[in-house]
Amino acid sequence: MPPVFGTAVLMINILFFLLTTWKQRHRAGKRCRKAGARDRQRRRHHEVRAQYSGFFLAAALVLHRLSLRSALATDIVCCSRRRVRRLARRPSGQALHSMEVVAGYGPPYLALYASTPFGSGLGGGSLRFGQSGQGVRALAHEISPLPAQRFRIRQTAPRTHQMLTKQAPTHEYKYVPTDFGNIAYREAGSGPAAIFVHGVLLNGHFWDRLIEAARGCQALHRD
Amino acid sequence: MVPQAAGADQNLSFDARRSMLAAFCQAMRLDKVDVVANDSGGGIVRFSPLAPGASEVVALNRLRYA
Repeated sequence: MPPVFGTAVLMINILFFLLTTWKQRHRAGKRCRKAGARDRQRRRHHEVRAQYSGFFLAAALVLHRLSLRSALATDIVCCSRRRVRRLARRPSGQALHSMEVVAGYGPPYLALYASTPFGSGLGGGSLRFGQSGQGVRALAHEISPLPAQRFRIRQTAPRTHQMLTKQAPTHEYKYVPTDFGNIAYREAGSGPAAIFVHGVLLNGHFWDRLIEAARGCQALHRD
Repeated sequence: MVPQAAGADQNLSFDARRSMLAAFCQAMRLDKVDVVANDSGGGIVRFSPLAPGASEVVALNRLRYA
């Protein structure tokens, strides 16, 4: 799927945060001017804005390979931070109405806020119905500006190469009649006999690795 | 052909399994064997030889019931 939607959602989020940050700073400055006081939070606003700018700059650098998943990650990281900060300012013990989250914003901001869950829905849908279907790992690969090889998880060799699927030629079931019925066993190697007895709820394959490692002696393992 | 699993009515007590192992050794005409056993398999060869007069070396691995 082309990254058009993801790019659009990301740009909407960028616009949203720039506008809200500007409006917040503008309100604070106006209040300070009315009160005749110095805006001590101005530097803090600059820092917050610089953080957002740095994030969006980094996002813009990798914009050519952003997709819906990246947009979702951006949306979660940015919007969640702002919502949490807004909720954190609430006095404890007070219930929060859903509309209070966006209280005080005009129609343009409300429209931008409304676009956020829309983008999240698109991003979530892409996670569910995306082509790669690799989940969080693919998301980490995708949004990482570093080469993907740096984060490639070391793949261990398939267990089929480690297990004794390549059995010895003599590992065929044989049966010996006894008073208890036919007892199945497998025989490998040559030399003095050794019997490998497994426990209850197991079978003779429990000893496969050991049998292969102990080549040179005759082994009989019951099944 | 893969051997069948033990039936629900099969006696899996230590004595029964030990007798079964002794019958196996007798059928295979094994007078002297080394036994490597695991878990409850070790319990059936832990305290007594498989057959009267038979000499054996028992190597036990992770005994749980012995």
